[in-house]
Amino acid sequence: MGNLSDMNKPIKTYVLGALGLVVIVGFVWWSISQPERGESIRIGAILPLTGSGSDQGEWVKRGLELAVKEINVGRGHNIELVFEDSAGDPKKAVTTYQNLKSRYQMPVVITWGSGVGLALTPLVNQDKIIQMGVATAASAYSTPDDFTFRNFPDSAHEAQYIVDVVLNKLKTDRVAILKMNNDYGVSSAKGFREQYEKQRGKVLTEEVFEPGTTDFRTQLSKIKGASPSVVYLATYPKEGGLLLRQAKELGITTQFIASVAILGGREFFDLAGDSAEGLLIVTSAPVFSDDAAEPIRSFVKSYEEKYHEDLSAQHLYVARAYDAMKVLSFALDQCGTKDTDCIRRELFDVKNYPGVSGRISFDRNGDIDTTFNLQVVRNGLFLSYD
Amino acid sequence: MFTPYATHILILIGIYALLGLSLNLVLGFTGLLNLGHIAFFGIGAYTSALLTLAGVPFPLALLAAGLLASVFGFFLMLAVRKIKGDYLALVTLGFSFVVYSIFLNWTGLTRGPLGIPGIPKPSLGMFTLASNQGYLVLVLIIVVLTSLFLWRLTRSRFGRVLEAVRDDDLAASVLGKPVFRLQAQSMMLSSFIAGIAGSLFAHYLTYIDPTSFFLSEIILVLTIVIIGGLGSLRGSVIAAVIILVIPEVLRFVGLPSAIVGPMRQILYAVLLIGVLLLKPRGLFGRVDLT
Amino acid sequence: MIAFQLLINGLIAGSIYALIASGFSLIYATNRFVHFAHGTTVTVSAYLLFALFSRLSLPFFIASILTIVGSGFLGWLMYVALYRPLKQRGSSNAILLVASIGLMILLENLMLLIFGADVKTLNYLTVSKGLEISGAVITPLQITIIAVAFVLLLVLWLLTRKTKLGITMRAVADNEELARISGINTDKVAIQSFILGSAIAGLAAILVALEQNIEPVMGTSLIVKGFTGAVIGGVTSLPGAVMGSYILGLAENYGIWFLPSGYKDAIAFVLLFVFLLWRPTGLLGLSKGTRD
Repeated sequence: MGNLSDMNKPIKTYVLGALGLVVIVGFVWWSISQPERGESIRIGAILPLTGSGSDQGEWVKRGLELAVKEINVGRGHNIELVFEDSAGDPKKAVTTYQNLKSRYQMPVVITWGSGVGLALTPLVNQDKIIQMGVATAASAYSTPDDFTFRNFPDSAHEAQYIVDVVLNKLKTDRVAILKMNNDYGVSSAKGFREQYEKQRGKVLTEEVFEPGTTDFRTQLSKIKGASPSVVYLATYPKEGGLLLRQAKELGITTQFIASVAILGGREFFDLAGDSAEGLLIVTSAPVFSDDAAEPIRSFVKSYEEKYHEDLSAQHLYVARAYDAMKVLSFALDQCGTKDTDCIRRELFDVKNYPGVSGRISFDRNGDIDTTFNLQVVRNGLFLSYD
Repeated sequence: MFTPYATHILILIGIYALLGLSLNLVLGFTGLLNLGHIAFFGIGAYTSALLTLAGVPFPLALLAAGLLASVFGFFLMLAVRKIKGDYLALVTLGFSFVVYSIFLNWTGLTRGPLGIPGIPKPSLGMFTLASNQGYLVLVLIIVVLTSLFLWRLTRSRFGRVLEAVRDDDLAASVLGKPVFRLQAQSMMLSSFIAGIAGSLFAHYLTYIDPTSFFLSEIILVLTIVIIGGLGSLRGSVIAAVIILVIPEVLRFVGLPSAIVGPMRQILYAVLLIGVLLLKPRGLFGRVDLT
Repeated sequence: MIAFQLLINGLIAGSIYALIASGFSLIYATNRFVHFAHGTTVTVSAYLLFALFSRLSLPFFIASILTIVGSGFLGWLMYVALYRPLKQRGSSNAILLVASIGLMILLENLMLLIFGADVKTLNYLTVSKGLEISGAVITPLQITIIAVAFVLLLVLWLLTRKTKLGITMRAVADNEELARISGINTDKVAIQSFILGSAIAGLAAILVALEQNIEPVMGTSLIVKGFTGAVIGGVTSLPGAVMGSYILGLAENYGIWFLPSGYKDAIAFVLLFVFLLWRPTGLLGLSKGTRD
């Protein structure tokens, strides 16, 4: 027994020594790789780089990078984006935020997602860091006079438009709701339901599924049983693609209508296949074409040059992120990076900024106003509905 | 004093050290493979969050978190009194699944998957602990107190009898030791500490949701205890440091965020398997895992 | 009619669980420890199929055969590289359980790293409306899943009753000491059980990949459900594991007719906990004395 524990000692020392070395090397590396103090403005971006919504995360990333490239060319300072993966999970976003905040002095953090936005709100308000949501739909995010802003429409405004479409364009009152059980889904469904009940009456049925679900058949069967003419979908791309596919297999022929949250590039279309045909999308995106007016024209050109793909309704995320970054840079120019109260005031003062996602003005809640239009999916492309 | 970054990491180390110490008490010193330990962490977190949001002062909420977790610890022990070994592990794992389901589905209380945002920072009357430095002090005080208490406890007669029960509970009961009572006391103390850790966790992050208290967290705590070594308090603390620092090193090396996540899990898994295969007593363990 | 659709859904789910539970039960009965990484065998096999079929463009049938072979091989590897060395140094079942959880995390994250988190689809079958039977809809693939489950379970039953391999395995499952004394090479039998059980997982992977697509976490939920099914029916009994799986599938689907859908997993967890606590030998399992 004595010999055995003696034999363990050197191994123990080596293991501890190795680990200690790793830790020391790590910290030395870190301190060396700290960029020069001075001109770099660090802006955090907490996005779904993996998981459901990862295509949207990628689009937001591109929009931000496109904007930063143009901004840095003209000025003396350097904006440096620090991307972190939230996987769309508010819990992960919070730990990431804490980590980011402890590493860098950042005046602004850009976020994606309602759940993430809501979870970070108390933190950014306490830390006096601006949170700019570029894909935050939940109504609860509207809080007056604080540090939260968004370049994205409130789902309650959108609900008015969607209900109008359902009642007046699609001309039906047999409506069901299928929502995802997270802040986005719950908020959007609630907004829709309230509007609908205000204008017409009761929704036939409302079914819910957990994020990450792969089998929607029970919910779909229950919806099928209620025989609606239209189903409002409040979901993210991965779940959305899967459920459309299963809906088709179950022989459900109802018209589905959803907002841009369901959009993913390959992520969505690979899963849905041709069961996405005829899906109605409500969007606030303008038309992205080479012969649109400025500033859209230059924006489209820059994007297509860099990424070699045509822009369509789903690239709304690129546009919103791009505009948000540009607006922020103006505020940063005026105020520097330390005075976030000043940045906040500047943002509230923004009126009719001519962005590629539309004209931007922030109201007291840090929200924007916008118009909507209706598109339909045909052969994997987005066409105007009318 | 410390950079914000170091403060952040140290707070997390402190919380996980508490988890490691408490699991070690019940696993390393009492011989119960409680895979449901994380449920107590969650119960503490939710209790403290909900109470403080309802206006209860933090110190009371903290205490309540520990106490409620402890009550559940007792009931779990009652349920598994006759069960041993891997079967015990499975039942306790099942218990943590059930608790997770409750967090997820009792939406009236916990808001389900939406989680609870805006958990207030600790405050007592006028004084609010707003800064992270202050929070670190709180965490360190609790860790030090807990460590000292456990150190005294495990060296006392209670501790020795506990280890006797771990090593051979049949013999111990033949010798007249109240096996169940000792196991229950150990379990209740362990879950109390885990509940406290949960409260500290909730108030630091200010946002919790059910997924924080599920499978991958169980693995993490188990890995800390096994690497540190069963029956060694010092081992659990040191292992908590190692486990939490390594992924940060990965981050420095410049790995993109989407890779750091899985790499970190792989590292934990490799460490766990490596320790089991090559050095089953971990760094400082005094006993083998049985 | 929705009640009938739920029955169909329950049978489909039950069949998938049964495929998982049968392989798991085979391994458990022969080796007497919980091989949680069985679910990850399904995940790795599914990605293997994806790599062979979608990336390397092999014909589907060939890719499937190779996948099943690959999963059998993975089972062998897991036993030989991890479990056997642990057993040889006298590790208890509890350690093996912990090790299997570690293995599960390792493989799952390896898949995540290599393939990414996004869902992979095989796109082998076209998406179209299923067949309608009495108001319920079922696709040809789903019918195949149920049929394959039935056939496989029949084959397994015959195997364990009529063939030398099967009978030997049952002997070891019944009483390892006695089997070894009788001259049975228990190590060889252990290897055989892992290869066979994992190959079944590979077969399950093909069907699940077609039906539910592929993502790194797919194995975890499958093993939890499969394990629950096995526990309900009796983990050491193959027919029990199968029966338990169908009970679980039906309970889940009928359960969320009344309860909100988030309760689906809760139904499984509660059943698992209850059975582990009050009837650990399951509905069909034989009591083998105190569990130690």
